[in-house]
Amino acid sequence: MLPHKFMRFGWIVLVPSLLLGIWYFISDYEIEALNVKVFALLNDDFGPKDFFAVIGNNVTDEILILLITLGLVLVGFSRTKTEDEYINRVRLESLVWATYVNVAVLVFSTLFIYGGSYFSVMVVLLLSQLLLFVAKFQIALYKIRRQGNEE
Amino acid sequence: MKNSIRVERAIKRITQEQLAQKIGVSRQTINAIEQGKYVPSTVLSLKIAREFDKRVEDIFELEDDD
Repeated sequence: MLPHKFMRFGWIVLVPSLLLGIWYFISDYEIEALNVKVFALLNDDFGPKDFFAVIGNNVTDEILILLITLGLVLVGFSRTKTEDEYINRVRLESLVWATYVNVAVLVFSTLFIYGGSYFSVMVVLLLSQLLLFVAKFQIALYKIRRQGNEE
Repeated sequence: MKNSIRVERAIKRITQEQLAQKIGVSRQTINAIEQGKYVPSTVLSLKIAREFDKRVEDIFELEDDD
């Protein structure tokens, strides 16, 4: 578990990158300045495969995916202010729940979504497990805190 | 599993918050245990019992559906 101070940093990273990520996903807008050369272990543009090549690529999506992942990990796995065994169990339960939902969506999409749309769904599924986990965990924390205050 | 933490607290006249601080958990955790929403670990149960100078079995009790 990460120290509590990383939680705030996680939110600062997560919120803007997630909003930009959704915008990118819908609009496909790429930032011109992010057209750079990258080292690729493996590359193919639905053609022949290239190994260990330096290629031109727009890294808008790479940066967004990494930032969203970083934000989600920091928010989901930093200690809460009052971390104890109960909170820990709530976190684990949220993680298991997110896994179940993600698997259900994966199976459903595989059975009923085809072509380019399936690829889009895969992009969402890349981040949805962590996203569902963080959302579920935050809602659970909110409920726990509210209940405690009613007494 | 049911427990008599609420009663023990009343006897000792301490709040959830005070008990929580003494055994190093959050007040919400004590609240969840009292409401039967969370079954504490063995270590935490022993700490709670020690706080009331009782044995674990005096505070925690199995129910039929356990």
